[in-house]
Formats: sequence, C-alpha cells, structure tokens
Amino acid sequence: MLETVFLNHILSWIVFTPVIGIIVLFFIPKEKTRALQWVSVVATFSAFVLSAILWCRFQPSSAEMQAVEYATWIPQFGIGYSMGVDGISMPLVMLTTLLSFLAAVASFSIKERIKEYYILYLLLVTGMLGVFVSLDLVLFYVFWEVVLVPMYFLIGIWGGAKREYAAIKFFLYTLLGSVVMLLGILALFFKGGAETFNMLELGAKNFGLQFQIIVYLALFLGFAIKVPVFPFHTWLPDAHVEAPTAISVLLAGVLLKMGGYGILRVSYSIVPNGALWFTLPLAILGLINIIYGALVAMAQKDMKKLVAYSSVSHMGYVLLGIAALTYMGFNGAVLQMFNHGIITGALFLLVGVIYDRAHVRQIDGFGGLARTMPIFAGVMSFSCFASLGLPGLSGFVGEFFSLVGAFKPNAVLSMDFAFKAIVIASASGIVITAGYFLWMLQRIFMGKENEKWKKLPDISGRELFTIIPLMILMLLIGIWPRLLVDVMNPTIIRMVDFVASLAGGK
Amino acid sequence: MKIDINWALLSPELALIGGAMVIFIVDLIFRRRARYLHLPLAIITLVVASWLLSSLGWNYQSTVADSFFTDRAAIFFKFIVYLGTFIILLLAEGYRPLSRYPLPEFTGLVLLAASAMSFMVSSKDLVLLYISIEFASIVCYILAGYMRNNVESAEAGLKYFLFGASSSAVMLMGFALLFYVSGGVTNLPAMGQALVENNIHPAFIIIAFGLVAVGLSYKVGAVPIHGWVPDTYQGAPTPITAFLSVSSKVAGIAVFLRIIIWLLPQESAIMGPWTMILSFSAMASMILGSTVGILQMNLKRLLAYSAIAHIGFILIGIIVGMNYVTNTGNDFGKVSVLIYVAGYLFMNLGAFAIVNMVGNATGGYELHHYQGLASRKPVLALLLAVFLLALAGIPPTVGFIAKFYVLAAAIKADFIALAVVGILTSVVSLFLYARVLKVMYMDKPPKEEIPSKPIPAPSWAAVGLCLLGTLLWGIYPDPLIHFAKFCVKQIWLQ
Repeated sequence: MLETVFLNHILSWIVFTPVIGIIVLFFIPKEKTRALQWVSVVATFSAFVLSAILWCRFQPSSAEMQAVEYATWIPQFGIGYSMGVDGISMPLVMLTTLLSFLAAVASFSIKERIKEYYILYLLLVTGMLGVFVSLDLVLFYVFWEVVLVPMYFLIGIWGGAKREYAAIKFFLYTLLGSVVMLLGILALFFKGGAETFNMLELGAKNFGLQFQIIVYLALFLGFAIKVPVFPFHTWLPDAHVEAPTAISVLLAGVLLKMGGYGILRVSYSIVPNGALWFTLPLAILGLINIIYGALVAMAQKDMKKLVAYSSVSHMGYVLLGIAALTYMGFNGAVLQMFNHGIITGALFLLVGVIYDRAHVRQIDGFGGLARTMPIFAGVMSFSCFASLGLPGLSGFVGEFFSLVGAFKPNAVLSMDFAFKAIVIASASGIVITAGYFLWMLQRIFMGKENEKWKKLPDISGRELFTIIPLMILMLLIGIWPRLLVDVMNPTIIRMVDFVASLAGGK
Repeated sequence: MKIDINWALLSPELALIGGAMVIFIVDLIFRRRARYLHLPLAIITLVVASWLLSSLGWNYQSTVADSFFTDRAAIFFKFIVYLGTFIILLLAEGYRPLSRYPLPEFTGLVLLAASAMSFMVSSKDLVLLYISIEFASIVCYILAGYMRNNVESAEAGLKYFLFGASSSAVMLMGFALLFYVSGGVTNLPAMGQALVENNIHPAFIIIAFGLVAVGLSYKVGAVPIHGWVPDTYQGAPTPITAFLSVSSKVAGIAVFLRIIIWLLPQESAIMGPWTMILSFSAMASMILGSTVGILQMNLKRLLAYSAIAHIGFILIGIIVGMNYVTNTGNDFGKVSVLIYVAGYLFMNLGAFAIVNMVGNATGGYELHHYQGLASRKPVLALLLAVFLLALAGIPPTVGFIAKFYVLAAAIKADFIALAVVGILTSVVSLFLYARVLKVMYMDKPPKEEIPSKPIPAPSWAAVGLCLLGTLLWGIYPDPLIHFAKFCVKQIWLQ
C-alpha cells in the first residue's frame, strides 16, 4: 500500500507537498507566526526527505528516465501529465529541495505579512520543482510560468528600496522570454508534425535543420533570459539585490539553473541540430558572461550586487561546458549548476546575516569585522573561497571540468582552435573572480575596525544552521565529486553521444 | 402563403421576451409591493430559457422560412449569453447607484437584450439579422445611459448610440449592396452561393463586406470602431459594462463568424485581401488595447482597453477559422474562438464583479481606491488578482488555455506575424494588469478609513461561479475543449 501510494508517485508528492503546506497555511490565523513558520519548514523539509528517498532509490547506472509517472491531461493535443528524473535532473531536484528548506528557515527574519509570504513561497517551491521533473513540454511551460507570479509578489512586497521596479522588471523580462519560448514549443507541435508534447517522444523525432534553428532560437531566448546570458542579464542585479535574503537564495540558487537545465533538457534533446549550429555563439556568450560578469562584480560597492554579478560570471562556465559537447564539459556544466546553487545560496544567506544586523551592504562601510564576528568571518571566507574556485572545495570542480572539457571540444565540432582560444581567455576570469572576492574579504574583515560596527553580534545558531549543511556539501563535493558525477555520468554520456552522432552525419 | 413555424426552436427567445413582459406587467400592477420580485422572476426566466435551449437537440434545425436556425455552435453561444446575463443580474442586485432608478424595468430590459442577442446568434437571414442587431443595440443604448441623472452614464449612452447608429447605417449599406449583387437573396448561405455563382467581381464583395464589417467591428469593439468602448465602459452602470463586455460581444462574435463562413467563399480572390484587413484590425486592437491601457487610472476604463486587446486575440481565431478549413471538425480557428469566448466570460465577468463590489464598498473605481486592498479586504484583492492574471494569460487559469489555443491555431495556419504580435502584446498587457496588482498588494492603505458597506450575497455567488470557471477550466480544460470541438463539427453542414 505504502509502496503504491508513495513510491510510485513520488515525484508528484515531491512537487505538490508544498501545496499541501499552502492548504494547511490557509487555515492558520495570520497572527500565529510560529505556527506559520513551522508548517512551512515542515512542508519544505518533507519535500527534501522525499527527494532524499528518491536519491537513494535512484539507479545511477541506467541512463533512462526514472520514477516516471504519466496521466492524460489534454488528449486532443497529446499533452500529458508526465514526470520523470534522470541523471541531470536528480541533482537539481535535490538542490531545489535543500535550498527551499534552508531558505524557509532563513525566512524567519521576515516580520510582516508572514502568512502571505509563506503561501507565495511554497507556491514558488512547487513551481521550481515542477520544472525540473516535467517530461511534457506544456507541463514544463506551466510550471515555468507558475514561478513568475509568486516571485513578483515576493520581491515586490518584502524586498528592498527599489523592490517594485525590480519586481516588475523581473516579471516582464522573464515573461517575454517565456512567451517566445511558448511560440517555439507550439511550432514544434504544429509545424514539426509531431503529435505530442512529450519531451521523450519529441527527442526521438527528426526535424529539418532550418526548422530546428528557428525553434532553438525561440527556446533559447526564454532560457537565455533565465540563465542569464549577456545581454539579457540586466534584470538580475535588480531582482537579486532588492529581493529579501531567502528569495535571493532561491533566485540565484534555483531559478538560474532552470535556464541551464532548459538548454540541456529541451534544446539539446529535442532540437540538437539547431543546438549544434549555435555551439560557437554559445561558447562565446559563455566567455562574455565569465569575463564581463567578473569585471562588473569587481566594480561593485554593494555586497549583494557583487554576489549577483558573480552569479552571472559563474553561469558562463555552464554555457561553456555545454557548448563543448564533451563528457567532461557536460559534467562540468551540471556540476557547476549544482555547486553554484549551493555556494551562492550560502553567500546570499551570509550577506543577509550582515544586512540584518547593520542594515547596510556597502563593502567600504565595514572593516576589521573579523575581530567582531570571528565565526562569521570564517564561514564567509570559506564560502568565498569555494566561490572563487579554490581546489578542494566544490567550486573548483565545476569550473575545472568545464574548462578542461572545453579545451578539447568534441571532435565532431571541428572547432578546436576556437575553443582553445575561448578557454584561455576564460581562464583570466578565474583570476578576476579571485580578485574581487579576496578584495571584498579584505575590505570587510581585515584592517582597521570600523567604530560603527564594533558591537555587532556574531552569527547566530539559526543562521549557522542554514549555512552549515551547505558548507559540508561544498567540502564533500570538492573532495569527492563522484557523489554527483556517478549519478550524472550515464545520462550525460548518452546525451553527448546522441548529439555528437548527429553532428557526425553533417 | 402559410409559413411553418417550429415554435419549439424559438422557445428560449420567446421565454426571455415573455419573462421581460411579465416583469414589466408585474411592476406596473403591483408597483412597490413587487419590488423584490423582479430578480427572482428574471432568474426563473433565464433558467427556463436555458432549459428550453438545452432541450433543442444538437442537430441543425431551421424555421420561419429558413431564416432562424439552431445548431450546436448557436446553442453554445446562447448559453454563454444567458450565463453572462445571469451573472450580470446578480451583480446588478447590489449595485447601489442603480437603486435610485426603476430596477424592474432595468431587469426587463436586460432580458430583452438577451433575447435580442439570442436572435442575433440564430439568424440566417439578412433581415432577421439586421433587426436583431438593431434590437439589441437599442436596448443596450438605453441600458448604458440608464442612470440618466448621472452625467457619465448619459455620456456613455449617447456615445454608444452615436457610434452604433452610424455603424449600423454603414452596415445596412453593406447589406443592401450584398442584397443587390447577389440578385435579391436575403438568406445568408444562399447569398454566399449566389455570390460565387453570379461571378461577382471581387471588388464589389470586398467593399460590401467592408461596410458590413464596420457594423460588426462596432458590435465587438475592435479597431477601428473602438472609440466608444472606453467612454461607454467607464460611464455605464458597472453591471451593464460587464454585460456589454461579454454578452453583447459574444453575440457579435457569433455573427462575425457566421457571416464570414457563409459569405466568404473559400479559395476565392476575396480571402486574401480580407485576411489582410482583418489581420490589421486584430493587430491594431491588440496593440492599442495593451499599450493605451497602461495609461489608465480608472479600473473600468482599464478593463475596457483590455477588452479591446482581447477582441484582437479572438479576431486571430476568426481569421484562422476563415482560412484554415477542414471538414473533419478539427477546425482549430473556430474551436479556439469558442474556447476563448467561454474562458473570457468567466475571467472578465469575475474581474468586473470584483470591480463592482469594490466600487460599491468604497464608492469609486479609480486606482487609488484600490490602494492596499490586500490588507483592507484580502479576499477581494486575491480574487481580483486571480482574474487579472487569468486575463493576462498566466497558467493555470483558463486565460492561458484560451491564449494557448489561439496561438496554436495561428501557428498551425502559418500566421506567424499574428502569433508574434499576440505574444508581445500579452507581455505588454501584463504590465497593465500588474499595475493593479501592485497598487493592491504593494501600496500602503490610505490613512483615512474608507467607509465600507457590506457586500450583498448575490455578488458573492456570481464571483464564485466565475472563479470556478476560471480555475477549473484552467487546470482541467479537457471537457471544454471537447465540447467546443463537438460544437464546431457541425458548422459546415448547412
């Protein structure tokens, strides 16, 4: 009994447990803060536990979709309610549930309109989870859109000074990408002659090259805005900075990954020839992301904005790894997505710690904080080192794999020289990243103590509780990346071989 | 010459007219004692009419010398009109400004308008069509200007009348031209055939159709005859605004669809120019509705511009329905129109219901009356948010399904430009709706207490119905799609 109800539909349970949380929250009066907070934490923790169970039952050796569910939804269009996970989506689902849980705990610092906050928050979690497990393009699109509305309100109501501007900018920008993506999806069904929206079945079809290119570009706009790819990144600094801490964690940790995941899951599987055609531009865009993001981060005076731009920079490695079309490159891309989620999630939580106490984020406004808040200094330094790619911590693994994987791109691409040049140029990004992080650490923690902040309390137990799991993961994956790679590799091998085989036939 | 009339087919319309007459008579005889009778009487009439409608059977039948017909799609459209009327009457019950004016007559007039729109949907003959359009329009002019001591309402009625009268005159001109050119035939399908057989020069038909389209554009509120929409929607009593935006529009769309199917022969030289003209109208409606709507401060005016944008979308469906033709019933364009119309009923009436309730409670329709509504009246704010997001086309509401279907139809028929304009204006129109969301949720409520009167029960019933339609069909649209396809299958058989 337990078997059928839970385990056969575990993905639906994972995705909709937060909705159960919402229903429970509706009945709790809005004054009972503790109850509201605990229900949300329990809801997100349950989703996390369920995904952990799924992880344990996951068969890494098989490259097939696992935990598949299917129900007919709109048969006239071949739209079905189909869900499944494979090596690429499994780590991302774990990332989402873990960050959702930790951010729910971090949300305890929200002091007003708590009930509405948590209802919107849980709706957001459902949307994010749904994106990563959907196997039907329309279902994927529905969950993609479901993420937009709660995010708009969460940024717009509980955010910082320019929150309304940031919220509407985020909403309109992302919606524009989404609707263009919708056109691409519709074109696949109606012009491609496919009779289904199911991703697996679409992946088995062959579309013409011209058609694939157009659909790829339409889909790419939607994903590019989410990743974000230069020049569609301008919504990110505003949204990340103005959002409340926990929401920034989810924005940077999960939403950006939706874009990268979309490129892999949708573009590379369904319109691979279009994706192949776009390989060099994708690599170049990755390079621009890395360098441009890093340089702009260096110039920032606001801590949160610096971390936001560092996200732009780090996502560049993802694009580079994908463009390379090698096992190592793809592994690097997905690793970088997971690791960046963990690391940047931690960084935003830590910035939130300072902001909660000092209510300013100006880097130059602090100094010598290591003496006042030693534990915080240690934790922050650890996370910054992870972010800049110190070997031994997880940030290094993703970047290393992406760069090495791109240095010797897939032979079928015949772009060896171009990629070598791009990788050599990107390597300078690592130096710049190290530069701005170390400079930030130096300005905040070292040197003369700033009189104003001498009395700041150190990081509290609750805040540490949200950061420590992330730190453990940073260390663990840095030393033993096989934790993730074992799960991802078979799927990646299959995907790379599939796309490469199409290129060979060119 | 004896004309055989199948009274059963006419029974829903006759029931509505009868109900209206009963209300008028009861009001005349019993005056004040019967003040509470008119709403129950009206509701009974609508229920009876709907029941009669559903007992008509799904096959095509016609009567009165083949000028009045009923088929599945007609039943569909009529149901929408009746449902709209029902919800309007519930809303009118609590609409305070109307209480100074005779309410039973108002209800009777609404029923008469509904019957006229019913006739419109079922007309197969030019004369019956024109008479029913005029009947509906005249009653609507009266209804729009019903609050005659209110300057805005009088202006609304007058503007509506002036636009309507001139558009109808132009349309009559077009009808006359078609009548002449087809050799004196008034039955529409026969006219269509005659136009083909008599080898009429396409220019004639294009001009005639253009004149007719002026009248039809006026009825549905599309560019270029959209000028009356903002002022009439803003000034008319809110329930009437809702009535115009749904029932009247739906009847107009039904007529548009029929005229196009019957009068424009497929594969003819007229299709091309007509597709272009209607495409420009569709694109202009969408662009104008979504961009100018951004500047609006008054909720009713904002919803008026949103109505213009939506009719542009529906026109896309009509254009595809015109061009992409199969007899297998898998007719995307027409199905998309039916689905959009059904979804639009729920979304739009829901939005208007909330606007009505907030207007009643706070006394105004300007954006500043909605400031901080989320903290003052959270349920109303949430409901309005759901309906506005549905109008913007965000899943999982019926608005998304409707837009999805229309876009799918456009892409399948290769009208990529229309699809692209459609999605881009969807993004722009989101800004329009998000402004209201922002004011409700992100602005602080005003310092002074806005006096708030209680909201009558029928309004909640209306809202509940609309919410159900919006969310249910959004999450599980299958029955709706199925029904729409079922209804469209038959449009070819006459």
